[in-house]
Amino acid sequence: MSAFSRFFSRFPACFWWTLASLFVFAYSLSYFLTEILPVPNLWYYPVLRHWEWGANPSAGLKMGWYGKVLWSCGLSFFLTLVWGLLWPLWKKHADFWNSLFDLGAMASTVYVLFYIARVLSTRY
Amino acid sequence: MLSTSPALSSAALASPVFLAAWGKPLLILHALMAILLLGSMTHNVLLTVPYLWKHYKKVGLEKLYVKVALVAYGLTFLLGAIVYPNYRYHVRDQYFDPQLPWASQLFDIKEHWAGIGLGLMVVYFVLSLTMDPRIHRERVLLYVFLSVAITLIIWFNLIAGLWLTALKGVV
Repeated sequence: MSAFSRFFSRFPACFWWTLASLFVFAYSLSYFLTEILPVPNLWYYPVLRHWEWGANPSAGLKMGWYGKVLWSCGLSFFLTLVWGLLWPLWKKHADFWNSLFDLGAMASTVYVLFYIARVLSTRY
Repeated sequence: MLSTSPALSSAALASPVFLAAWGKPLLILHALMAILLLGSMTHNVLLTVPYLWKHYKKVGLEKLYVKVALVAYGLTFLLGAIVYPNYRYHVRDQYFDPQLPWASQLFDIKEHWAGIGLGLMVVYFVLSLTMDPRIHRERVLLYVFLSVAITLIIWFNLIAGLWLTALKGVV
């Protein structure tokens, strides 16, 4: 048995599947929210080789994609971790939560991919 | 002899951006990893879609493709992130934005889809480790959905990336 398998076998498979679905749901949703809301972001200035944090970054050539990916990874990881710690509260209804997050994960992913393509293809 | 290599333009050597002198080799590595990723996920999706009709051929091989794809996705993503400042300054700012704004849009869609795909890939790997499609039928729909979504993202991104590079590559 590999180290991965030993780690995953410490909880029932349903626990990991619910967390996996929640992570996808939260990841797509947080990526979408960073696109539409003026949240503070980590900006990189490639010519100056300088990083800046804030909602209103300085003028100049800048890149917000690194910050956006970090935001989404961080927020969805945090939500998934909190949900995992609450396992004793939802394990009785694990199937319900699992199905709900499955639906949320698939719907939010399709919508966010479509939204990005639609908005960016009509930006100019 | 980096300084005398014909692959290195004076623009690359004088560039202020991170690792500009290594832009082309990094871009080629990025493309090679993307091709490996495309191959592994395309083979994977050909084995996962039949799960919907309860056809389980080569489940072990299918899971091996997921492991290869995870490593290839990570490396492709990392190399793309390293080359990105070079593109942003030398290609987008100086060429695409003033002359081909649609190319900038195409790249933006590619980068955001790659960002979304990263989250999907990690979860797909976790599901692959913890489920057996022959036993856990209730998981198959999400599993196949992730497999198809990741594969479509990769196909789109590889074609868009090659097209954009054909228009103007990094210095």
